[in-house]
Amino acid sequence: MPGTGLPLEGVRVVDITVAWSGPFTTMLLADLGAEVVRVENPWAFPSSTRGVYPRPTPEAVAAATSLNMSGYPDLNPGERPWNRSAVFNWHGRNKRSATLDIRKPSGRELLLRLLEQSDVLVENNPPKLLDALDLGYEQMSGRNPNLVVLRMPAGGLTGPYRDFVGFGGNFEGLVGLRSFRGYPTTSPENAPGSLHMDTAAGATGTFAVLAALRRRLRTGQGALIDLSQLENLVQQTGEFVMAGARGVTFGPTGNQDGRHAPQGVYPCAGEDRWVAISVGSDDEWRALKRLMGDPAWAEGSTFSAAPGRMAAHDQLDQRMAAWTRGLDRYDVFHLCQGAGIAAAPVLDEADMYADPQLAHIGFFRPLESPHTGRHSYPAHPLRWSGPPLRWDWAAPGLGDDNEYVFRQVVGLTEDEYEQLVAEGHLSQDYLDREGNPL
Amino acid sequence: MTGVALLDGVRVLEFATGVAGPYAGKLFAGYGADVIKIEPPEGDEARQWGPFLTPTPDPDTSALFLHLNSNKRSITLDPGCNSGRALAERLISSADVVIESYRPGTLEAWSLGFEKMKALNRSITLTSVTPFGQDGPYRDYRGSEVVYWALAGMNFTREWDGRPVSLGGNLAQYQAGNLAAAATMAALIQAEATGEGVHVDASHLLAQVGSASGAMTYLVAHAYNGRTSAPPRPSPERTPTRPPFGPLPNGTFRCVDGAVMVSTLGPWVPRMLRAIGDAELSAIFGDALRLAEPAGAERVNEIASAWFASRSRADAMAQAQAEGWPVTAVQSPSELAGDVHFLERGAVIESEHPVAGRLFQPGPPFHIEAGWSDRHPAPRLGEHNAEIFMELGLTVAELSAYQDERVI
Repeated sequence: MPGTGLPLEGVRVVDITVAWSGPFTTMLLADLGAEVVRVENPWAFPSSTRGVYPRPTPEAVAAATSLNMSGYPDLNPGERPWNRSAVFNWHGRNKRSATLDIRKPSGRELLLRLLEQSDVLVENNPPKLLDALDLGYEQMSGRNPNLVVLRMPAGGLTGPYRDFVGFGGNFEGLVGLRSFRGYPTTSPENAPGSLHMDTAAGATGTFAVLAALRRRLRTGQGALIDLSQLENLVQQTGEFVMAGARGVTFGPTGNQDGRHAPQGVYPCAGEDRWVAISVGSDDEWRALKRLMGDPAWAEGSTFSAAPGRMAAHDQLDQRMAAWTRGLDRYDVFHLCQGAGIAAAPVLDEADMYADPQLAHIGFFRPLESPHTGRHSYPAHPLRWSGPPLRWDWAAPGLGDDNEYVFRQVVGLTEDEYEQLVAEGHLSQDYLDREGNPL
Repeated sequence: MTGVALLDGVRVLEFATGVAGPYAGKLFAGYGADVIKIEPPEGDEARQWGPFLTPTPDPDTSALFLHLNSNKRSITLDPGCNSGRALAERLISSADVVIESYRPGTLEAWSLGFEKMKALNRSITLTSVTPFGQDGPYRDYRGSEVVYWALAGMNFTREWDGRPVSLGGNLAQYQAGNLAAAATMAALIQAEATGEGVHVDASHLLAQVGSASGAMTYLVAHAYNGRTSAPPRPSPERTPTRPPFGPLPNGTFRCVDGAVMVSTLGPWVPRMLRAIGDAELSAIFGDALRLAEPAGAERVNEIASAWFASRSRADAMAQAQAEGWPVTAVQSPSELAGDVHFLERGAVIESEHPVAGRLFQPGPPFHIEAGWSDRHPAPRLGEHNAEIFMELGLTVAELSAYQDERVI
């Protein structure tokens, strides 16, 4: 990719990440100009990376209620479902895919040879996985002292939780993220789950790699980055950790936050249609009152100041809902925002594709691939006045770039390449123990 | 720690209040940048936001403010007036990065827009953090935590009765700041390489719709087959729902002292069997017919439930994780200051604040050689006025004149 002018032009990232957090980091690095080479093991299908299951039946896909399981073009998992899952295709743009069984000595050695030609390695497995292969920062930097290595397991590289496994939705409970979600009567374990851990770690991992690369530009030094995804979440709950340690009690408050009143998510005309409204000051309350037609119940001193509105919040919620129920959610949204009140309709994916602000930004952009066809994809979460962020190709199929990576980048001879084939490293399919496509 | 701090020598001006902009600034400050927080004379609004560490709210005891602003220096300045602008220009000339969170158009109205900044300092990086971005039909629209989740995330985050609910806390705002920090670092590299400054337009909207937490997967899934993340209609009764994984133990289980959360995908069954070590359970999983019967599935649930019910959260977690079975304790944030893992790694550290007293606060989000350090607690309003304005070359007389004019 000559001449992008992007800050990571000429930087090669080896990506052995799974699931969502690590892939989000490498997506952002690729957007910023890096060449990202995914090295994937065809002998081990990592769940939630190229799909939840390797080969779901069309019936299972159609019947699934989770979009992670049903997210295939036309609900058809196709010949190679691992190339067609939304779980992979949201972040795979601009990346390359090579296959290698790094559990075999020859695969491990080839990964090290690739790292000699690279600048960054990103991985998010439990540390014991690479331990078992005697493949740590020491071994990697022994072959390439300038390498920046980002390791982002849940628990980090030390401590009792070091090798803990799980998904973000469960792990978030370990650091208290479920203790302030849901209705006041909802217990943490029954609160709706989220995958915020993945998105948070992905962004911090990008910051960390960029900072390390910047220092490397000045000093030439490589770096090991130990990013515990759990600790990164602690950053985003810092106020609760600090208050909790002081004995301050708190719990879930639904859609209220103690700063805005009224604030809530209110039903609108139509089925399952909602609008979020936040009133942040007495001026905003007066503006809202005008929008509602200055109803008699809103007059008087009860609601005129924030403490009164806070105290009567439940009553206020019922009044608000009675007002919004007959209205279109977009009408309430624009009415409120036009009067200086924060509001938004609850958007689903169809709404987002139709949203005028996202259209103005050009957030959705088409990509075409032999694996999935032509579709409109969510593009860059970053905007800037710098050179255009990369938007070069759709997510690669498993092993699509084996020739490029091993012949051109690593520089294997014909014989060495044939040896790789013979040892079963190169595959466009996930394989069972006997080496047959799953 | 050896060597020079990761971001040593980088100067950041933070014309930002609330959560997102200050969190981006905090990441720079923690790793060694000199972050100067320019507060309006009445202070960052987050000083008024709870939770507070003292029974009576105080601008120096907001846990949120103290967390977001550690390792920064604070000055007060009104860049909207002429003499304030002159000081702001001197600061901008001395800086590498400016982070701001004013409404779009505000800096331009003060003649401090990006073009003006570049005229003062050609390689300046300007990061604007707003609800909806610098242009477009929603550019003047306002935001809040629930508004950001409404834009993306809430449609698939529902309470038991089907009502959309926010993820809680200030998570969307933190995430916008997190991405803004990454973009700012990229812009800084770019500016240092080319000598040409970059304007980053960071928005809460893009952080929400462009995030890994489901939003992007579901957008792609929708493009592929038209489905959306709206959940099925809820049942009228309040029943804990279990994901459709057949007889595999998934979801919440009660222990002696609280709850754990459990993930058991098909390939992980052997790990669960090793952890529980129950002959009947192993026999059921060895017998496909029995497993397929409702009675078999019910027995699996009983055995697993009994195993958890006889243990503490910590023991269940440690024994399951030793076999690679994803079991995690549900803890409250208050428990972290006593959690051996997070203490050992310095994820929660003790420090001292002159007004708020002894604090437990988060340590670094990641470890790197010569990386993060806790240098000083969050500043009091204008704590560093004299220090920084003297650094800029103001005389004592000029400083007191500005103070008399209430510019500072």
